[in-house]
Amino acid sequence: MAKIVLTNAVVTVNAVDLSDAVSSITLNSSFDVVETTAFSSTAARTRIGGLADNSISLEFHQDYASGEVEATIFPLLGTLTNVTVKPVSGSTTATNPLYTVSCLVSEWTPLNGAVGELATASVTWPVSGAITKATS
Amino acid sequence: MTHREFHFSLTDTDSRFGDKEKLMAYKVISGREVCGKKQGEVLTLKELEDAGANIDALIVSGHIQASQASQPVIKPAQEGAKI
Repeated sequence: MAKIVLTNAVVTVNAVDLSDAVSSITLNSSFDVVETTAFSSTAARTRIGGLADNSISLEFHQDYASGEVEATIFPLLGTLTNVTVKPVSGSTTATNPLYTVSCLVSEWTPLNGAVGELATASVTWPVSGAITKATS
Repeated sequence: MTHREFHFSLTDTDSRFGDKEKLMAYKVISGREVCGKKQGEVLTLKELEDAGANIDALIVSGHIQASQASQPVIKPAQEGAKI
């Protein structure tokens, strides 16, 4: 398996391909750690996995034109929407999996930036449910 | 007392489930791909639903519009037509 440098990742939000307006993607998955330690001769803590807690973080390059970033995200505020991410543009395969999540669009920054800087919007949206991984 | 019977039948363009059933196709009008379809291409309602898309948000944000081809055609009633 080859190492990979992300250059051509794919991001869709509400089925809209926003890849060329996204500069950073982080799909997080963690599980609660539930302790099950009891008296035993091992003298070590034992644990099992609890509830999953998933989220996705994206950094957008802001654009206010019709059909662009702001127009796509703003109507979704406060709703659940599907987000998909894939390491490389092209067919979905075992080495280029497609991850699909249902996110709560819980935050949005319509305007962000300082003088002379690119207008961007960084978001972290909690996932409702599991992360689905497709390999074909 | 006169008793009249009326019979109604649903045509292909009639809907019992609201407007969304009628608008079975949507055209991509923005420069961004929607469900893998480019500007000018047509998306079916099923494709959008399978992708879990919020159709109202896609319309508001200027990505898609109802395809003219899918609009129901209402023909004027002909004189003397039987009910």
